Amino acid sequence: MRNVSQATPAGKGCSLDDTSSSTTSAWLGLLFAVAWRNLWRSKRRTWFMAGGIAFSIFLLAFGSAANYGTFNAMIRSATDLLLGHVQVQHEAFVDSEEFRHRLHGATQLLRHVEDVEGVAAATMRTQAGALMSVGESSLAGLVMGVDTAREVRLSTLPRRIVEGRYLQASDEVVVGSGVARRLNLAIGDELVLLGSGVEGGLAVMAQRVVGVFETRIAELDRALVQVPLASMQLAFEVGDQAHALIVATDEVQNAHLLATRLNAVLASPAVARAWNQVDPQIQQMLDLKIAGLGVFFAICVLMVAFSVLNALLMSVFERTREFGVMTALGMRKRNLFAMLQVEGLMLSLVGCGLAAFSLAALFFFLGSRGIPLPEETAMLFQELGFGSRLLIEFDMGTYLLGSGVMLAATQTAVLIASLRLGTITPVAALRAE
Amino acid sequence: MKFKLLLQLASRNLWRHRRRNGLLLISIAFGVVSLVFASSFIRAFQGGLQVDVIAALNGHIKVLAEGYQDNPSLDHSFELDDGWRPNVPEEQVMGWTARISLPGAVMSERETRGIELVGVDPQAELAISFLGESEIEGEGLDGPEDGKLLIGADLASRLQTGVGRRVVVITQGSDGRSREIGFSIAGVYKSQQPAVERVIAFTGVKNLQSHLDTEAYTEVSMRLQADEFEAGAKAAFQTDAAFAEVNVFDWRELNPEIAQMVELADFAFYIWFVILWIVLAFGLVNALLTSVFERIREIGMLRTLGMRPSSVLVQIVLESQIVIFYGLVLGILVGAGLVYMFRDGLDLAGFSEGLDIVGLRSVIVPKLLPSDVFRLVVLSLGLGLIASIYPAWRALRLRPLVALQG
Repeated sequence: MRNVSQATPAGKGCSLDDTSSSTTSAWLGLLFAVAWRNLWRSKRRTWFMAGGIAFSIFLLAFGSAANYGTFNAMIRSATDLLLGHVQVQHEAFVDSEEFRHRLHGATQLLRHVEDVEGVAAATMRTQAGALMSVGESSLAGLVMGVDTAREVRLSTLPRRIVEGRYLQASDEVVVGSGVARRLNLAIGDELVLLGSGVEGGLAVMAQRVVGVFETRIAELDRALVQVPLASMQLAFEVGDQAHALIVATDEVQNAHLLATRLNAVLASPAVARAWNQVDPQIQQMLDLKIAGLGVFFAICVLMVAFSVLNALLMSVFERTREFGVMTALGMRKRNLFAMLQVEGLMLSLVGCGLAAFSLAALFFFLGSRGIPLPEETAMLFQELGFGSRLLIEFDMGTYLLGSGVMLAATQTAVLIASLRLGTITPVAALRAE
Repeated sequence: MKFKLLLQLASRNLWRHRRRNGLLLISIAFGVVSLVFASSFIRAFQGGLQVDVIAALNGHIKVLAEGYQDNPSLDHSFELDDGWRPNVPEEQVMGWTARISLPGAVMSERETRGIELVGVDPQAELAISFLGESEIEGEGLDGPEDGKLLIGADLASRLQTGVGRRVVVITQGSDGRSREIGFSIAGVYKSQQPAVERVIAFTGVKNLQSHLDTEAYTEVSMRLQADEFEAGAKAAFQTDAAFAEVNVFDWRELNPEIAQMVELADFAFYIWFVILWIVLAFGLVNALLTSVFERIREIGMLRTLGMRPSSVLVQIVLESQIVIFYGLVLGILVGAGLVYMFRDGLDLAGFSEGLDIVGLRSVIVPKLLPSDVFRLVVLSLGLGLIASIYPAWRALRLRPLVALQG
C-alpha cells in the first residue's frame, strides 16, 4: 500500500510532459488515464470520499423532493379548492379584504378575462362577514356568493359535499361541516344570514340548507357558507359587482405568467395576482423549509470539503517521493498540478454518479406512491394539508445544483491541496521517506 | 498496558499528523457548531410554541365543563363560590383566573366578523395571558365590572373601527337566546400572534355575566411558574370538590397538534444529528484508516515486543475520541458564541405568514440548554466510538510478523 516507488509511473511521467510531440488529445487522454489510475490506488479512501460526496447530494435531492412533493400536493389542493391560480381583485381589497372594495361591471370584466390567452376557466365571487342564525343559535362566519355553473368547473369544493347536494336554485345555501355541527343544521333548515351591506345598511338573506361540505381545513369548515352569487348581490345591494375573479390556467407553474398577462390588459383598480401573492402562507412555509435545507446542505458541503481536502493532502504527502521522481525526470509542475485537478474532478464525478444511482434506485422503488407515515404524523400532515403520505417529487435541477456545488467545493479542496506541490523540490522529495 | 501510557501514545500519534488531525478537528467542530445552533433553535421554537399556546388563554391547566368543547355555550358552564381558591401551592402558581368565553359575532357599521368574546378579570389576565405583554392603544379594562371592549388591532382594522367607537356583539345568553350587546371600544391591543389578534375580544367578566343573566363561568385557567408543577396542579384540580362536573385539561390535551409539533421538533434534532454524523464519519474513518496503514510497521513492532491486541484497539479508539473531544470543545464554544450573538433574536419576518400557520413567532431567540450540550457530547463520543471500530479492527487484524516485513 505504502510502497510508493513501485507505483511510480516514471516512463509515463516523461511522455506526460512531452506535449510538443503528441497531440493535445492524446496528452489529455494520458492525463485522464493516469489520474484515474491514481484515484484507484487507494480504493478505500476514494470510496469513502465519493461516499461522503454522494451522501450529501443525495440528502439535498431527497430532502427537496420530499418538500416539493408535500408542498406541491398542498398547493394543488389549495388552488383547486378555492384559491384558483390567479385572482383579480380591487387593488384596495388586496390588503384589507373589506366588503366595500368591489370590482364594478364584473360580468363584463369576467368575459374580458376569459378571452385572455392561457385562461382555462374563470368565475367570480363576492364575500362578506355575516352572522348566521338558525332559531336561537347563531354563529359568525363568511358568506360567499358564487356563480354556481362556473364554480363547479373551477373549484373542487362542490365535490366536497358530504351530505345533500351543491347549490342549484337561488334560495339555497351550502354550509361547512363545522357550521352545520355548531348550529345543529339539517338539510332543509332555513339559515338566516345577517351582514353589513353597502354604506352600513343591513343585509338579510334567508336560505335553505341543501348541502354540507367538508374541506378538511378547519378554518373553512367552521366558518364558510356559499350562496348563489345573484342572490347575494341582490341582498347586499351590490348589483353587478364582485370581490374577486378566480382564474385557473392549465398548470399552477404558469400562474405568474398569466397574472402578468392579465395585468397587461386590466385597468385600475382591477389587479391580478398569482395564488401565492393572494395567500403567501404556503409559499413562505415552503421557502422556509427550502432555506433550512439549503443551510443544512451548505454545512454538509463544508464538512465533506474538509474531508476531501484532508484525504487529498494525505495522498499528496504519500506521493511526495513519487512527485520528486517525476519532477527529477523532467515533468513540469503544472502537469502534476493538472493531474491532481483531474483526480479531484474524477472523484467528484464518481460521487455524483453514486448519488444519481442511489436516487434513481430510490425513486424507482418509491415511485409516485410516496412514503407511508406513522399514524400521528400522518394526522398532523393532513391537518396542515400535506396529504397523509410523504410525497416526493424529484427535481433534476436540485440534483444538478447539489452536484455543481459539491464539484466546486471538491475542486477548491484539490486546489488547496495541490498548493503543496509548489514546496516540493526534487532532491528533498527523493530523500523523503 | 496502563491507560495513561496509551493515552500518551494516542496523543503523540495525533500530534505527529497535526495538519491532518487539525483538519479533521475543524470539520468535526463545524458539524458541532451547526448542531449547537440547531438545537438551540429547536428549543426556541418549542419554547415559543409552548409559551404562546399557554399565553393564548390556555394556561398550563384549564378547566372546562363537560360538553363545552363540542358546543361552547353557557349550557356548558359552572358556578364558582366567591371564596374558592385552587388547591395548588402558591409558590408554584404564576396566576389563575375564571372567565366566560363564548363565540359571537361583532358588527361595526361596515363589517361583521366572528370573534371569541371573553369576559375576564383584567388584573388576573395581565399576569397570565398574552395581554400582559401586549401593547395597548387607548385604555385597558379597569376591572371585572368594566363594560367596555378590548379588541385586537387586526380585528379593529378589519372592522374599520377604533378606540372610542361603538360595535355590537351578538352572542348567546344563558337561556339560549341571542343577546345583542352594545360596546364602546376601550382599547386596541397588539399581539405577537395574529391568529389571536383576529378573534379574541375582552370585556369585564362581571359585566358580561349581567348581560347574559348568569353567575356562571365557562373556564378556569391557571399558569404555573414551571412545567414541572403541571402534573401536581392537574391532580389538585381533578380532586377539587368544586369541579365535580368538569374536565381538567393540560395545554397539550387542548392543543394536540402543537404538542405534537413540539415533540416532532425533538425528533428533528436527532435526524440532523445522525445525518451530520454520517457525513463526518466518512472523513473520520478515512483519516483513522490512513493513520493505521501508515503505522503498520510500528504497530507490528509494538505487537512483537509484547503489546496486547486490546491495547492496540484502545489506542486507535482513544485517538478518535481525543479528536472528537477537542472538536466538541471547539464546536461548542463557537456555537455558544453564535447563540450569544443572536441573543436579541433572529428575525424571520420574511417567512412570517408561513410561521404563523405553524403558530410561531417571527423573531426567534435561540436558547442553549446545558442538557442539550451534554446530550450532544455523549452522542458524539458514542457515534465516534462506533465509527472507529472498523479502523481499530483493521489494526487488530495485522499479524505482527507480516506487519514488520511490510
